[in-house]
Amino acid sequence: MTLQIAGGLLIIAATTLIGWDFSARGARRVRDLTELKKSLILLKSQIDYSIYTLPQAFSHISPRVAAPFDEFYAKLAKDVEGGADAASAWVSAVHSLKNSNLDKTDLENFAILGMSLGAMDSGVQINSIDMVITNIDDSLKRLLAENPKNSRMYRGLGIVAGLLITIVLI
Amino acid sequence: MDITVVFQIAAVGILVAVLNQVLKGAGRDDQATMTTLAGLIVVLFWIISYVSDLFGTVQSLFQL
Repeated sequence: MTLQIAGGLLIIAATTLIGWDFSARGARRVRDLTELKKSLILLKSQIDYSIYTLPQAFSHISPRVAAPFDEFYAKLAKDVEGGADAASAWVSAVHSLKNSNLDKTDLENFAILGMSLGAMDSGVQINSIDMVITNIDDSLKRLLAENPKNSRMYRGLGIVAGLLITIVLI
Repeated sequence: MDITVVFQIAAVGILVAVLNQVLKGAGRDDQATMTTLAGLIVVLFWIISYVSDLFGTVQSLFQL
C-alpha cells in the first residue's frame, strides 16, 4: 500500500510539473517572438540606413540579440561569408532554430524572408521584413490574448490528469 | 463485489467533471467532449464483467 501511495504521488508530481512546463511554454514563445521581431527591426535598419552588405549586417546583429538568435545570425554571417547564397543559408539557419520555443508556423513565416534576401533590391527586402514583422505582431497579439487562459488550463489539466491516472492504476 | 470499484467510479466521475469544466473554460469544447467519452469508456471497461455477471444471474434465476 505504501508503495502504491508513493507511486501515485510521483505520478501526480510528474504530471503537475508537465502541466506547469506547458503553461510556461506560451510565455517562452512570446519572449522568442519579441526577440525575433527586435532582430528583424535591427536587420531592417542595417539594410535601410547603415547600407551594410548582408554578411556585415548579420555580424552586427548577432551580438545584439539574445539566444537562440545570436547563434542564428552568427551562423548566417559565417555561411554567407563562406560563399553560400543568402536564401539557402537562411533556410538552413532557420532549420537550426527548431529547438527554440517558436512553433512551426512562426518558423515558416520566418523562412519566407530568405527568398527575398540577397536576391532583390533593398526596397523589396525591407518590404518583406515589414511583412514578417506584421505577421509576428499578429501572432503576439493572439498569443497574449490566449496565454492566461491556456496556462490556467494546462496547470489544471496537469494535476487532474495525475489524479485520474493514479485512480485508474490503483 | 468489491466496493472499492464504486469509489473508483465516483472519483473518476468527479475528476472527469473537473476536466470537462477546465477544458470548457479554455474554449476547448471538442476536447472536453472527448475527455468525457474517454472517462465513460474507462468506467464501462471496469463494470463490464459485473454487468455480464448480472445478466448471467438473471438468466439462471428465471431459467431463461
